[in-house]
Amino acid sequence: MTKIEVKVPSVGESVTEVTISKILFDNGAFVEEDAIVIELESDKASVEVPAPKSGAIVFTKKVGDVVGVGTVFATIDPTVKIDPPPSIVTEKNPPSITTPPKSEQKTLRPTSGGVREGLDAHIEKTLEKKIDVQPQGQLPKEVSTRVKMPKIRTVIAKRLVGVKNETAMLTTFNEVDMSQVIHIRNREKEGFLKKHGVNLSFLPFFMKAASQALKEFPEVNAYIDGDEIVYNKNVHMSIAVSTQKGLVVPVIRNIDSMSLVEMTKKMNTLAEIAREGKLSISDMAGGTFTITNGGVFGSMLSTPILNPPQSAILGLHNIVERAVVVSGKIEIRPVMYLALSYDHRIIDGKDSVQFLVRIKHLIEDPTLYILGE
Amino acid sequence: MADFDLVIIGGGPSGYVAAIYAAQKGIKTALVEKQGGIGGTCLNVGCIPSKALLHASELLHMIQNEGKDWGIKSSEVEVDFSSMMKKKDEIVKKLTGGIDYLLKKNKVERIIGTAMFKDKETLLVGETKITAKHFMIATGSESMVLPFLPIDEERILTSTGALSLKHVPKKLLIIGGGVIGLELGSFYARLGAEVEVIEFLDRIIAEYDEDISSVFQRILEKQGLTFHLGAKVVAGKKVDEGVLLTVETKNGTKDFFSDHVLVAIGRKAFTQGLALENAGVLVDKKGFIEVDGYFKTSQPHIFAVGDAIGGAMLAHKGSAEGVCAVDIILGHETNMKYGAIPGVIYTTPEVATVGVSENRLKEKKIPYKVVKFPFAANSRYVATGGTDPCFVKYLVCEETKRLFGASIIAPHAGEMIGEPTLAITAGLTLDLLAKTIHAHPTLLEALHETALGSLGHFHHI
Repeated sequence: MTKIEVKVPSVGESVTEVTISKILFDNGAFVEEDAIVIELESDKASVEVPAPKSGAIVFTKKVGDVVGVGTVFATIDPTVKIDPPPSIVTEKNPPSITTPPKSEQKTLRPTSGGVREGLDAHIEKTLEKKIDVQPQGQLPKEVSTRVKMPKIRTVIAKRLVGVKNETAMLTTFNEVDMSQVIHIRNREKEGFLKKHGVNLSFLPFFMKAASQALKEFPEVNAYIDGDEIVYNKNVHMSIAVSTQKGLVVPVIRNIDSMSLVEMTKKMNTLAEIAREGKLSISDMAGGTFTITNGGVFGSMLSTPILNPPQSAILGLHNIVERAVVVSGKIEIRPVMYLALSYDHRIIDGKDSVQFLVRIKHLIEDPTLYILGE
Repeated sequence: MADFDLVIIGGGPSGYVAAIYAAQKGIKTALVEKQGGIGGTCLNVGCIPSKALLHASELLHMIQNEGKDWGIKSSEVEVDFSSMMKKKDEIVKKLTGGIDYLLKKNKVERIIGTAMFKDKETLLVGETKITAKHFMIATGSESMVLPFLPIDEERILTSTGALSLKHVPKKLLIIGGGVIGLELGSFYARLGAEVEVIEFLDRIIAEYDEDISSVFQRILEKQGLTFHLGAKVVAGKKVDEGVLLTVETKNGTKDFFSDHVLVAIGRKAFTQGLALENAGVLVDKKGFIEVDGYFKTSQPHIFAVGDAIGGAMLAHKGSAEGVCAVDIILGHETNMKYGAIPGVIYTTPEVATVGVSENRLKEKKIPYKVVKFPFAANSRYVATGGTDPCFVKYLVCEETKRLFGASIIAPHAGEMIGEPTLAITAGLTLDLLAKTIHAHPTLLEALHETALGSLGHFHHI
């Protein structure tokens, strides 16, 4: 019986190559059918590939390789039926005493390999061009390290510069008194958690307010495509989530028809998937407006950058008690600064400012939701 | 529950250093070595006693010969050979005692006896069964012998016997023009023996570059050694008061007679009595224990290092491998750089090398540049009366300004080789070596000059 080739699957439209981010089995290891054998990373998401059959797997590519869709990255020998017995060492060792990968134990090489760098390895290292600490009368340099830019990072970089170059982006600011929302949250949070199993946070209030405002300012929910403006009928809200690999932006679809509870649940689920690095392409596609919350990291004020092809992004910040004047008196109020970056090509200054003011009002007086005003 | 985390078999430089290191890292370690064996070949019948004797003979040479050049006259100089040997034995004893102390201090359990595997997980030392999570075989090597020339260590010697002769032989025939043969030959030549070396290949110290071999041979010839190259010993027998060898030379078959013969044709793994088959540990065709890139034998919990796995038969190579293997057991990141192991011949002058040979670069068609600096242009060498054609040789990668290899033939070459060894280990460039300020006047300045020359501008030639 011939060996089965395991190929890089299609991971979504417009993705032609992926980077191997993790190999989960040693060469020669036995894998069960459908067991995840490799993790791939595209510009947009991480993808796990299962074994098509049970057998002994041998990887032909290594971690860090960039491979095209359809490339064979491993072969499986289906004639191998059981896992070879684990070595005595791995069985008995306490975790502190470890052994190198099994794959390396299989081949016996008398002079080099593994950690043993032979004479030819020395020749290669000598030929290798690298930056050396040079003594030539320079001030001490910062020691730096160079690593290959992860796929996701290169895409982020390219897209951000693209936004700067291709849109007329600017930012409008406002401040919002959070007293009401804090009051409601403090009053309701225990019951909310008990009833819905999720924490009541501030973000959904803004999601709710924004989706209301987006209905009223259709340009903010629209985008430019060539010489046409595309108005989105529904609101699909992108929520920026920080993960170990970078910022990802899952989308809550049709948020304009959701209750605050639904939004909260959906957001929690997506954030969790995002942090596990398991968002699929479709989880991140099709957003019409983005909210990003720099406040969780302590940001006081920032100018968020557009998430193309969208035309606006709302930036939330930290809540700080500030002295504000209310009806002629100085009062201490929990205040958050809001920032709305927008594409001036499609959104007029008047609309952007009024859109943000609308959000401010809805947050400062949430009863407006109920009244539909 | 195993008795130990790690049991090391063999108390030579590979085994005892690994044992100390492992114990320092908190591994419960035992070292098996027979009575009086601690220190291994190196300390007992190798590096150390030979260096002690070479030093003594150098002293004699200086008093007898070199002194005259400086107006130091000595009347009758007498060599009390047995006192010389006694002094050597004292030095060995002192150093082995030092290792015993270090093992004790680091709480390495000493198990005295000869080890054999009962099975994969059990070692027998006499009647005692010892179990361990990991074993490390560091049993070293022994001299190779010729089938028709059985060793008696009286007339027909290995290095072991040659280090404990009762008197200086009138004539000594040495089979093998390698490091061991030439060091011992050098020693006995200075003490007055007529020394002839029979080498199978067409040059001595074949692992060194050819220019080093030929200069070294010339220097040794000046010291009184005779060489027969491309010569094969085909038969030999003990006769009255000596040994008769039949040698096929380029000029036909000749007989060589001598009162003693030293067989120094190389070393082979010493694994006798270990019963490796009981543990399922495989050896290669030459008898060396097979290991993978992590010093693991065919049994992944049994490691092997040092002479027993082959490669350069050097104490420091074995020690480094032993430490490296302990790091593997600990799961630490580590590496073993075979391109940065210095080799030294402790004659006068010394010969030292590190890195790859010129021949290897040629074979691999790697572009390289040879840069040499003669010690005749080194003030310290001249000031101390040096007249031999000593030199430094660097094999340089012009593009990256790094060293492929280095050779030195000069007094204290064994000490000086540390500089290029460090450069290779750390990947230092010749710019850095040239920029390094070397004390004046020192022999080491010759290395500085070679680095400068590699960059195209010698200062002193």
